[in-house]
Amino acid sequence: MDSARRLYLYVLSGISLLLLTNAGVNLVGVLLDALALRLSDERLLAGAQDGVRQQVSVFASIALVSLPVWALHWWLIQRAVSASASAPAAGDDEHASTLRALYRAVVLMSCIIAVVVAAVNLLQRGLQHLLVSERVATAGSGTDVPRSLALLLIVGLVGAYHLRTMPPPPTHTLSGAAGWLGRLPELLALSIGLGMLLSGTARLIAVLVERAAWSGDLLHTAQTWERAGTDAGAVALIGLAVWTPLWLRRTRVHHADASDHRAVADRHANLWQLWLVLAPVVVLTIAAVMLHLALYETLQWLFLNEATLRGQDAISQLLRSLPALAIGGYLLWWTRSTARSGDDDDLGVQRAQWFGLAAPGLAMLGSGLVLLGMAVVDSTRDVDVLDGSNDWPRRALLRAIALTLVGLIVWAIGWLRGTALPGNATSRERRGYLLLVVGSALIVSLAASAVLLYTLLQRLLDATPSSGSSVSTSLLTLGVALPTLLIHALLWRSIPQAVPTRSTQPAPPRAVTVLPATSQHLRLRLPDDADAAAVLQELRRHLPPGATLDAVDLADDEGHGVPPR
Amino acid sequence: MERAGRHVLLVSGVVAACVVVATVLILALGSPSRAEWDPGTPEATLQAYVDAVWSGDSTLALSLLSEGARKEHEQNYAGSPFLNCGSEDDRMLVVVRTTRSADDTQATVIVRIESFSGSGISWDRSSWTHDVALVREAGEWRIADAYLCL
Repeated sequence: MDSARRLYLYVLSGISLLLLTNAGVNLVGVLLDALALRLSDERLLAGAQDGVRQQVSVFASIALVSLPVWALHWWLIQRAVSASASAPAAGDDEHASTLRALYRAVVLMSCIIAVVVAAVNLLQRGLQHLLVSERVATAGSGTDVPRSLALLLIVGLVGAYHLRTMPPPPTHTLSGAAGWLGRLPELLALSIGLGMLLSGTARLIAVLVERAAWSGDLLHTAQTWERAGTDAGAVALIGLAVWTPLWLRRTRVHHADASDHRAVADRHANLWQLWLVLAPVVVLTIAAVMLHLALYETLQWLFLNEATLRGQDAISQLLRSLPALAIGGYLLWWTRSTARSGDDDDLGVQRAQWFGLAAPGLAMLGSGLVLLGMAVVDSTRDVDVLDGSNDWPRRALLRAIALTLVGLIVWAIGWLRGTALPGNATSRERRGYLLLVVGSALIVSLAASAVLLYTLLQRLLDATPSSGSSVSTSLLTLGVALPTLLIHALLWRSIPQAVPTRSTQPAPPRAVTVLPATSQHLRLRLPDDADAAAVLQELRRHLPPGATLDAVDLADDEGHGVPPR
Repeated sequence: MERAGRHVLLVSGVVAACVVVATVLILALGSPSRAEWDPGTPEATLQAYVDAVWSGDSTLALSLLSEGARKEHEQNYAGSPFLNCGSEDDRMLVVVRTTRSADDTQATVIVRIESFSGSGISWDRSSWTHDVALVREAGEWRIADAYLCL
């Protein structure tokens, strides 16, 4: 199929599917609404009595018009898939096309998001009706249970149908966009589940702490707590329900035998490895930010004698960081425990995780040091009170202590664990980390220099006098960023040059996964004086487990009729 | 017909049948009829108020507000009483539940608003609830919201 025809078919199919799904959701919603109104004690106060008939006519018309359009275009697509499957040698593999992978990813990701939203709404309503007083449960928006049910049913069916009719492309034979697009929906669902689990549990902990520490002087009422608690619980439960099966599948993939070629390909996919690096780094960075806030709250409570400060805020902040700490730590442990000895990719992921953690730690440490300097400078003079409070230098000092301490710990753990891993000295993860830090420090230094120059020129030209704090802030920023830049540039320079960034020799062959039970005829041309047996022996050393490389006799120069020897 | 064609035809047939069945079911269930409440109930006052606002009878609507709400309304919204209230779309108001205080001087009517609007192929249904507070003044239920727009 040519590209223009393929683009037309998938775009039309997508638009008509969207219209059909939307009409189906609304039609089922109207039906459930009508049923609910008939079965409940609810009564019509005012409004269009023929509104139901109007809605039915609109949505049924849209459904009945978009259905044949979708069916025709989908049939043409499926026919092309069948044709390419029956004649794979034609070189036009519809099943593995990038556009088909993109269509599949968009449809499945939209379905995942819609189903998750509907499920959360339904579970929240269900929990509220079970656990919360009726008055609170029905108030506010989002009580449209029939619409959520319709969304769950119709979009769930659409997603299941596409999952069945559009299985993931054979990713071990793909490269580029089609390969990673095939994995995108699963990783999106995994991220959504993880994010919901984290935010739900953190919010639940906050509600529980507030409820436990309630002393009667708060605006909250027991009912709003109940509602907030059930809302957070529903988010956490749906997050867990989404995340658990996908994570179990991932665990099976990592424990699969090397002969399982699909699992091996899944395990070594770049997108999955990127997810496995980013997920714990992001989660633990969130935990670090929350921990620094908890420490700041604690220090304020201990050293600033203010009536508005409460110890429970610090405890709440600390406890809310626990889910992120636990999940981030678990992801790091899981990566290490499922890594295979001698697998460069697994080792690279671990190195990237630790160096990835060191980067935000260093940013927090640098920010803390700048703030510390600002607090010290401001405490020596009576001006520059930013928030109208005389406590500014003391508050800044406490904030700086919290930032510096947590940043130092995070950076030290990341750097020490990253550098302790084998192959660290010349690894691309170390180079990437150093490059990131050098680049960031350079940008910060340039920005601070620009502000400093602007301030000095302003003073020189007798323009509007600027505050002294901008000069001191710029100088402090430079004082932190330049040494960071220098140290990391020197570390970059110290990377052994024996490992060239661009080799003049061909790179050693990486293990590749091959189709099971298939035989490929490859042609190997060697110089006249080459030792063919030695070359074959060298090549066989790099084959993945289960793969074989056999020498064959060429019947003629075109390679036809080559029985294996 | 090849396998892909039969498969798509089957799916389309099932979807079309579902659409027809849903349509018939909805029409068989019928449209909800407008309820009538006894005069002197919070729901009857609210119904009269909504009818007045939607028909543009702001004098009647104002007379159904409580004294405090009326004064507040005259101070803040004298220039544009109930402008465009409820006229943007086809909406239905459904009384979900009514609660009254123990001394029967205050009531809350929980109303669900179902809105339907759009044109062409872009139509939207939405639904939300609103709590309407009423107070009893001189034996009559009056709305305690200065600018209730449902």
